[in-house]
Amino acid sequence: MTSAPVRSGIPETGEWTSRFATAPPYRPVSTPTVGRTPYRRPLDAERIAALRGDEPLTEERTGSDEALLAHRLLMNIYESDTLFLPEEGMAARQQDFEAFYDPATRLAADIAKPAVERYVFSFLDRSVQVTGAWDLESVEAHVTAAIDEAVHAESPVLRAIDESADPVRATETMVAQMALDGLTEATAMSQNLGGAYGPEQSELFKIFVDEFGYGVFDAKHSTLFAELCRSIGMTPTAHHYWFFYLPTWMTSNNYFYYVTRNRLGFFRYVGAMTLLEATFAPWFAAMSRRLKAVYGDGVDTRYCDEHAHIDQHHGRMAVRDLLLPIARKHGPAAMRELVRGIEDTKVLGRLADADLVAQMTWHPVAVAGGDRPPTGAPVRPGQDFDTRVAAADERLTVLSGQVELHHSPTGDPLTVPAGSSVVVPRGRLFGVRADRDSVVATTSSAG
Amino acid sequence: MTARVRVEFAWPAHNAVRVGDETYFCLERDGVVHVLASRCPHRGGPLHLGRVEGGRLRCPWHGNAFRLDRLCERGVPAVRTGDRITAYVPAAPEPEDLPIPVRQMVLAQEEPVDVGV
Ligand code: FES
Ligand SMILES: [Fe+2]
Ligand SMILES: [Fe+2]
Repeated sequence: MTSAPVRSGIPETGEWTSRFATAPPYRPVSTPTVGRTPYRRPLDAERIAALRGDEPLTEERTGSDEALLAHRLLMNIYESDTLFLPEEGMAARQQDFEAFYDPATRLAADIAKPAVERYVFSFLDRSVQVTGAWDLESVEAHVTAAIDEAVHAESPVLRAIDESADPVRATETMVAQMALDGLTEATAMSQNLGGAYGPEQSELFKIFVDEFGYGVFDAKHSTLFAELCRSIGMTPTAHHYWFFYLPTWMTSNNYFYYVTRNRLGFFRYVGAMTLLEATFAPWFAAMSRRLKAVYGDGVDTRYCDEHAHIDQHHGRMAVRDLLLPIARKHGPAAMRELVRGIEDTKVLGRLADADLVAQMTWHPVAVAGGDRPPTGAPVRPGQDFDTRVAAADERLTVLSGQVELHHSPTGDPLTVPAGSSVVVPRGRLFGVRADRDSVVATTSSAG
Repeated sequence: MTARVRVEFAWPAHNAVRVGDETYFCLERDGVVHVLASRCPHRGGPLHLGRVEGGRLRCPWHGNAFRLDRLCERGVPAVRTGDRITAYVPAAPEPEDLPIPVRQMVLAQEEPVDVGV
């Protein structure tokens, strides 16, 4: 644990951030996927300490390396306050369990949290402006129009899968992002089931009765999601594909913690959840068709089929029984926040789609020959693995040895032998690994 | 309850909306764009041609000054993302009078903005 003041990243709370990020559950691992435990979520404390917390991310930088680091940190801050138990029982994990929920680490998380949230989410206050004296009619018109627009829009992500040269890899890159909340039981969205807030609480509960499978484990949405993963050969442990979460997808997931852990965000949460529930049905119906087209009959599409069906109801319930009654009861200030949640969701969805499409449609190629930069950095077998987002178009040239470029949660990495190079476009997520001592030079790929 | 009509426009290329005889105009405060009714509460003067002075909007007709925070609080329900504004303006008495986004040459402004074309 660091006790010296750290000149880090997130001001005011830099030291606490650092205490949290260096705790045992967040130490690095050497493999591109994380073992089957809910308690390992690697963070690069040094890169986190270099974040300029006094300059909050702008909308343009929501897909940047800074966003990646800050959202990993924030997700761990939130989820270390959420119950996960190891599937195989506690016997072998007692120590990890205690480390993950260690009160001193939790305290650091709580102190660091507001500044990290400000760093990653304050862009929304500029990107979405809701003004004026809203009334029930304008709220209803707005939510109806937003839903209508969303259900009729073609999904750029599904189109990218249709057109992909490698549809399996593309699909699994998407499924890995969906696992963010698919395998954690929509935890981020279910933070407001407790409390006491009248009939609307019961309406919200009805939606979650379906999500939780009416108390039948096999019918829970997270169980269905795990079955989908298994049927296509993916690992159904939460955060197994940790290194391949895109920053914009973590943004969407963390957003739900952000607007629910602080109860001031309640109305925004209802707006956001309503738009999602109301637009899931057609999106999941389309996804189910894509999955069958890509994998044939072997794929378990029940997760999609269940949503294609039940979210027709959830959408209606969320609008008619939750959002509008809340608007009616709580008045103009609440209405403005409901609308803000709807608009936040549209912005976050657009950013996440664009980021994912860019990642899916990137097919890196190793090219032999070319300029040979004089120096590079060593990549050793067994060293800590990590992924990062390229800040600019970068060329990685392997000067000696041979490395693997990891750019998707599943599928083979690209082998880049000595004397070859590969270009990583700006904004793309990648990691490098070697099975022998290697040296890699990173240069701007301009020209 | 006021009957309302939805209108979408690109801002700042358009900075006001006409519905029948009424005008609603955009006013930027601290980087946030509000859509306000132009009809002065006194005798209906054109507030969109008024001047902003120390947090108040002065009507060009008889010089009454109205607190901007209050005007904004009572503004037209509106959402802005990027250069797109969606607003729900009160409907005109004649339902066929639909809202028309327009660009005003002279417009009350708290902060100077490049209205551009
Ligand atoms: S009409 Fe505006 S001050 Fe009289
Ligand atoms: Fe669900
Ligand atoms: Fe649902």
